[in-house]
Amino acid sequence: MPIYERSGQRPYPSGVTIRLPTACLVVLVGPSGSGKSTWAESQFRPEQVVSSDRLRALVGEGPHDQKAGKDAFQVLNLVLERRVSRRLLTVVDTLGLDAARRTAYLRLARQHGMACHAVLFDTPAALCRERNRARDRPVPAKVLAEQIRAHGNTRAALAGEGFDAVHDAGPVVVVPAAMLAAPAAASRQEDHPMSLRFGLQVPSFTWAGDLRDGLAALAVDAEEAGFSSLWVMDHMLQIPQVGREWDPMLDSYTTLGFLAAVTKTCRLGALVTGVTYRNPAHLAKIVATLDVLSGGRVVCGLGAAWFEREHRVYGWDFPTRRDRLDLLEDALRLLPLMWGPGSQPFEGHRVRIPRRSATHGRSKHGYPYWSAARASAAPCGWSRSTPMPATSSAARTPCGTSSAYWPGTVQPQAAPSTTSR
Amino acid sequence: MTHLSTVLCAPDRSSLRDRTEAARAPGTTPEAFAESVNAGTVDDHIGRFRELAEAGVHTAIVSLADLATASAVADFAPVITAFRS
Repeated sequence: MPIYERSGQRPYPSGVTIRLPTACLVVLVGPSGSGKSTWAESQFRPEQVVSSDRLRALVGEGPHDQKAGKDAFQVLNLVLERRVSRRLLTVVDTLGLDAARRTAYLRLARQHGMACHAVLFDTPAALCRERNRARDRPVPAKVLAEQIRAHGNTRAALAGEGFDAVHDAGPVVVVPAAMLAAPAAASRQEDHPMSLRFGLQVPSFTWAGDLRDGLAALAVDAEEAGFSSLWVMDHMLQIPQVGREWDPMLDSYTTLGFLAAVTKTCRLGALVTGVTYRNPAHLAKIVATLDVLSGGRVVCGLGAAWFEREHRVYGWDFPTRRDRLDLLEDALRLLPLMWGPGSQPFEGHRVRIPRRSATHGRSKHGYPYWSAARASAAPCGWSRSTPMPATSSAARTPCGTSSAYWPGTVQPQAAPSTTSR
Repeated sequence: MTHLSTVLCAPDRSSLRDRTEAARAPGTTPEAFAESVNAGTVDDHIGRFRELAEAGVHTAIVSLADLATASAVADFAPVITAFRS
């Protein structure tokens, strides 16, 4: 079952809810008649369950054809290997009483970076025997007795085998890996709240109806919902990660100007501005203008740009990575000068400005900026509110699919006597 | 530190199932889609953002996977409310 209760799912009678990550190998453990297959059928889609009994039926004379066991397990191992290599949620419905086989399943999951959970079925022995007797071809009583005996020692063994978790059978919820520990974290938030600001990125404009009205309504709704910032992408074409190239894509700063007019409190910015699209002196003017018209709500996001295709489509050069990073550094140095007094020339790695015309920004405290690239050093005038870590491992753990930007503030400043590199 | 991620948020698991089925492309499993858009209930997201806050994030930017639907912003509002000091 996916992320949610499976449609038409039969409620599982008891037990604590089991949270499984979306990429997980689930190993069932219990004697015949303990309810493994019934549980799996109620909690997962048929294609997610790899059952030794069903494979016995496929390659032998029926689900309990013990003579077909070897062939069935060969097929089972092949199917498991293929599914796990694709990181597909998979349930191994076998007895699970053989420690060597459990170890092999665990090793397979680890090889492919998958989580591996075990689910135990501690069904009373009398009930297992009763169910077994009701079958068309019961497991011999002596064999079942041996399974029940072996199962008695399994719980302790599982604890030391390295599974990510061992669960008692219960209802299942499948969640993205980043949400596996969410219930405990949500409890912490309720007991000892932490504050967090939220921004809304609007990366596409494909909704039905009038685009202008829809965008205005969205911005107003976002502000009322408590979002403290609104963001658009700075792209000329829709990027492949979001949609199709021919989907509607509004110009970033024109859109932000519109959003400034229909909102009152949200900060506004491009996440992030590619430095290859505009002359950086012109960018300084655009950002300062937006700041004036929004009442001081602009955030200047800057990045080195990456989307080669739109450069080609628009007839722009797509500089090398090194040149784009140089350009980013130039922009980081030039913008605070443009926003400050003075008109001395600027000469950077790639940018030469003979005479800086005054840009009439209103900010007295500097413009917030977010940089998406790790410039080697913060240029003068740009201060980071947090250190820019070499890697964001601390933040990545609970993130899932995500990006991180490093915020700070840039102070408008007077030009030093020499502004060359 | 700031953080950007795609989010699919629904008030409960039943709604989440419906939205996942409506939004995922044919040929993509519900699990793969859920992972790609961080699909979860309001409570799931409160827990996830709590962990981000504990990791040092002060601003979380979300791109709502179902932004084109009328209730997407309103459905995320309870998550924001949970982090108002």
